[in-house]
Amino acid sequence: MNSLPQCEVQNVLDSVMRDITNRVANIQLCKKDSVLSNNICTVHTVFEGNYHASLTLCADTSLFIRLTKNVMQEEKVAQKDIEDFSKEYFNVICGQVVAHLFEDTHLSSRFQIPTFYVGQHLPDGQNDSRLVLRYTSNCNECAQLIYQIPFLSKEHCMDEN
Amino acid sequence: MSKKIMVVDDSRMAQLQLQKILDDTDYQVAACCQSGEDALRMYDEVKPDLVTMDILMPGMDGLEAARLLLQEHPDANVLMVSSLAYDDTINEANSIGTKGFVYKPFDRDQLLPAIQHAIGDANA
Repeated sequence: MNSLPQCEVQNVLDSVMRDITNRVANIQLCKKDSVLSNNICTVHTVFEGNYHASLTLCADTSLFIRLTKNVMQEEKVAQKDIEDFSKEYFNVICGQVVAHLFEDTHLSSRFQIPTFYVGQHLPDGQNDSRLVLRYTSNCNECAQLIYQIPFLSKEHCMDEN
Repeated sequence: MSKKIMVVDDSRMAQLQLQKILDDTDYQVAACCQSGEDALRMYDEVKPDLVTMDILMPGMDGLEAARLLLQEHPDANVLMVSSLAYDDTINEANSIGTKGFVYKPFDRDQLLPAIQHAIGDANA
């Protein structure tokens, strides 16, 4: 993926993010520059295989809560429900991203089981290349999907070649 | 008599969704396993008519679990249920001998016909 055109990756991420959120929980997201609140959660995974990258979703906790309520069809949900649902929702997003990128590139990949964090948790890597997609929901909750490609040093590139 | 389904998925949410869809059908969730290892251990005890199998799970992945399960129980009906649905994984699932592939996110209209087909249950 590291050699994939950024716009192609961006298109896949954007269409999957919006489609899955709508299909799973009937929540519409629109791409919009937005600022996350002070109360956020993060789900994160790493792609491994024929390409290496990480994908992180930081969003207002209120969005994760509404997603969980809509899917469970419950008025009250516990913290464990939110955590479990957020990981499964993100798992579906990652699976679809891998499947769509395979269609475009014939490069296959797997990803690690997503992890959930209360608060913001961004992967390390000051020199990594980052692609950030920002969304606002129909109830004004904000989300950021961050796709990060690891920085490869010149020595590493020569080793790989 | 209702048919027994063993759900193999580490996600409690996925288990819950499957359970909800199957609630008013002739299928009952007889067991939920959180890993491939659990599924291999519990299969003889549960004797399900169908196993639904996720791919990405802690420990052994679902394709490996399905392969081992079918080696030991060639007559088992295994239906893959995963978001990791592309040529590589679908072809591998077919070559192992699973009875179909349902993509996550799934709904009732996708899941029930796939289960019926996998069990060979035209009248369900």
